[in-house]
Amino acid sequence: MPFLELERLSKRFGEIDAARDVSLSVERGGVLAILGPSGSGKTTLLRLVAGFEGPDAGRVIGDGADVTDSSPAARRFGMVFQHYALFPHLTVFGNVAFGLEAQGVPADRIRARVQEVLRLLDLAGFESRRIGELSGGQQQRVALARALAPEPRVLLLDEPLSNLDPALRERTRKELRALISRVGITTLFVTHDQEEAFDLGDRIAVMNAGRIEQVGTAEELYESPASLFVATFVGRANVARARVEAPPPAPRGVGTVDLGPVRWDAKITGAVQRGTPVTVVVRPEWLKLANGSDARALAAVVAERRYMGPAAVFAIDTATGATFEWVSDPDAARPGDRVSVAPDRPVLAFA
Amino acid sequence: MRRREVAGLLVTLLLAWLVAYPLLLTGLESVRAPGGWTLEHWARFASAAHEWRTLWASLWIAAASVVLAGAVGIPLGFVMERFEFPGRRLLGALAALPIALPPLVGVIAFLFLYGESGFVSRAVQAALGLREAPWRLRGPGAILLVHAYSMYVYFYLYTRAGLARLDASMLEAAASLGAGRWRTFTRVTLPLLRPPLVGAAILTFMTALASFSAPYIFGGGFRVMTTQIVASKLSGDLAMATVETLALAAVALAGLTALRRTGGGRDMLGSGQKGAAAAPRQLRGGLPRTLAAVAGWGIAALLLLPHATLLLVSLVPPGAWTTELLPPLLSASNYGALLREPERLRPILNSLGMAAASTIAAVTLALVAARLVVVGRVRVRGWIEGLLSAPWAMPGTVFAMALATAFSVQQPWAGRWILVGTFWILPLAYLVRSLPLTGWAALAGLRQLDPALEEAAASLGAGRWRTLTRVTIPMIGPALAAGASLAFIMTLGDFVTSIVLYTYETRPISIEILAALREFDLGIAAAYGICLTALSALAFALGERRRGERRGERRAERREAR
Repeated sequence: MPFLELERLSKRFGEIDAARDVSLSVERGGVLAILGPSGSGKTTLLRLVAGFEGPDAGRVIGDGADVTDSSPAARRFGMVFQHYALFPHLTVFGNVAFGLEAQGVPADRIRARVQEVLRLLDLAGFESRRIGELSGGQQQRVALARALAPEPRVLLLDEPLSNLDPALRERTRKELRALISRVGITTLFVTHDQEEAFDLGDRIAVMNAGRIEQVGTAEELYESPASLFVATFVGRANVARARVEAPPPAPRGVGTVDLGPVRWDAKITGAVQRGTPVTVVVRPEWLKLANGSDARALAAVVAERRYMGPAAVFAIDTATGATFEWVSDPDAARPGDRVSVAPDRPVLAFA
Repeated sequence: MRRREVAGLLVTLLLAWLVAYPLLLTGLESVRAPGGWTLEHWARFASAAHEWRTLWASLWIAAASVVLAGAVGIPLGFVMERFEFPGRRLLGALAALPIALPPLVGVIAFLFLYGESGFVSRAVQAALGLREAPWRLRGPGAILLVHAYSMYVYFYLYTRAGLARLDASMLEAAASLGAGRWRTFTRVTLPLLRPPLVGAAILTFMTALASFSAPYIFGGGFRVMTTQIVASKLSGDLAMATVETLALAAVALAGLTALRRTGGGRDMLGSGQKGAAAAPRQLRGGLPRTLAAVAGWGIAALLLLPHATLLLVSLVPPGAWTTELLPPLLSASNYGALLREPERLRPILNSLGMAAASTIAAVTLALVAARLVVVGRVRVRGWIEGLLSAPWAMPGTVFAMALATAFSVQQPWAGRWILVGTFWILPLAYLVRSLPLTGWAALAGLRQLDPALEEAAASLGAGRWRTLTRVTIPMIGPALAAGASLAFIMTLGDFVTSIVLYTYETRPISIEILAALREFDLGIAAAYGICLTALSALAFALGERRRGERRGERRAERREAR
């Protein structure tokens, strides 16, 4: 049975649907990432779960109990805010002890618990520091410590790493992953950063315009995206127009699409018949150099080469008229070269 | 959700009853005749030449006060913010001193200093061997002198605050584009300072238009509308007093609107997120430094003279000082009298009690109202904000008259009770007058408060009360304390409202100062003035201390961030 369940949650702000019929579930101890562009409604969803907003329809269920009408305080969901929302008038100790004090925990137990959490987050000795005296990374850890101290049932993270500079972000992400698995807490977090979602989430829900487009593992999202939005939002994607040549024998099966100069096998999503216009998505690393006589070979001219170390990213002007990105060996081609490329697996197509 | 809207409506009704209703009743009163309606009072007003003269006097005195206060305050602000010289910090603080001097106390200090038998007049008279005092401190000139002294502070503080927020890189950008010092000043600095300077002008205009103490004491035959209203009321012509009140209110609103128009739009100083103010320029060389120091200390002496005079006069026992240049005998007997004699102590206790009660009520009401506006975002939030600010746009005399009109009748069904002549009318008037200061403080504090902080407290299990007392109030405390201390100071030294509404039992310090002056108990009047000033300064310091703490914290944060 899922530990945290969102059942058909909807929320409108005036004309804008911030959440439309959102259903999601997280197993006990699981980590679900909600990934979406800004304005997709992911923060609203997190606020609905935390109880800062009330849904227009739908339910939030925690550990089998309906908490939709419970106050944020009664839910016992810990939250880490995007800008941390640490209390600047309190010390580190005061911040971390705040939730325990609100629960009426005796002073000696508060002291012990705060010490324990601070040790867990590598903050021992920082008790009497003021918030303004901490670096960004330390503030982030205090925010986590504060949320974890009262032993919440669920941990909610709003863009937990977005306020850190890139160098610190990667290290903190590793620490955060280790911490979540050590504490074993059910976690829901939102991010617009795909790498963060892939790295931290057991499963990832892709959100767009208030709707959940797909829920799955990182691999499922990348290899078998359920919609054109997911295909282009997650990972790099080359996009071209095509027509269906041969519909797949079964829904989401492999058929053939006609791009003009070539015909490729494609996993087709949506109801199609012969001649239906579709959008084709090809990952840059799926393209391989091909023999010009191969029927699947697409002719192209190399317009640009960007050297990245182990590989190079080429911009190639293809015979379809579209410019593709192609990832290959750094020595595969030079700008101005004429090349032929073909995908090493069925491409993706969406009606 | 619905409960919040109901609360919003209730608060709007309460504020409307306190603020708008008395003005409305005053309007009705001005067109009422026994058993019907009449325009007779308005006609009487319109056909009386002296009424128009008085209205015009109010207007030009206010405009001239703006010009004079700006001429003193703006250069002083530039000097203190842009140049470094010995004693700059102390002088900078001293220059803000007049703000802590209650209007009536400032006026009597000027009387003791520059009045016909004041120190300076006597000194000049003795030095030149004149038979009479060299000048008479009377009429518009005297009023403007007092206004310039007490109101330049607005321009001074606003100029300094504006310059402190002016990003130095803008000046550097102008310089690198080839602009000289003068061009940078006229094309960059002044345009950017325009909004704060217009703000100071509005503040000065409204204060000068509402000014009562200076015209009352120094006006002589020269009347402005505030003194005219009180005179009409005292002479029993209540209908004329209500018409005059409305005329003054109309001038105040018109002036406020006109000045807002020239506002130069948005405040652009805050638009650059980063950047620091230009560092003050070190004055080099012996001569400039000496000149700066001499000028600085000269200004300081001028600023401190009224306070010093007041202190000196307060130490002169009754009857001990007649024709000598300096008093022959000093003692603390006046202060002893204030503390020993219950009837002399009573005004001090009255003022403290009423100011404290009205400030607490005003802060509470402001906090409730501001929360409904900022956090609750209730539908009537525009009304709530407007009603909170409205008393600021009205001279104190206007509100005093309006409250006197509204609460001199027993009509519980119409929300009117007889409060005039009772204890309650003055604290109520003080409360209304305190609403803008406490309201703005609460609104500004809550608007700057990151809503995530309250949410964080809630998600950590804190209930409403705990969130309010442990997070919200500590966070907006400094802003609230500053607003409360200003409201407390204003009501503690209030003269203009009190003179219309006081009763003998509830007479505040200002009324007692006036009574002492009338009886030529100058020492007693000065001792009251010193007490009032000291209490005001104490309240000001308490309010500022809370803000100072926060400023210190922010500075530490900024240092850390670098």
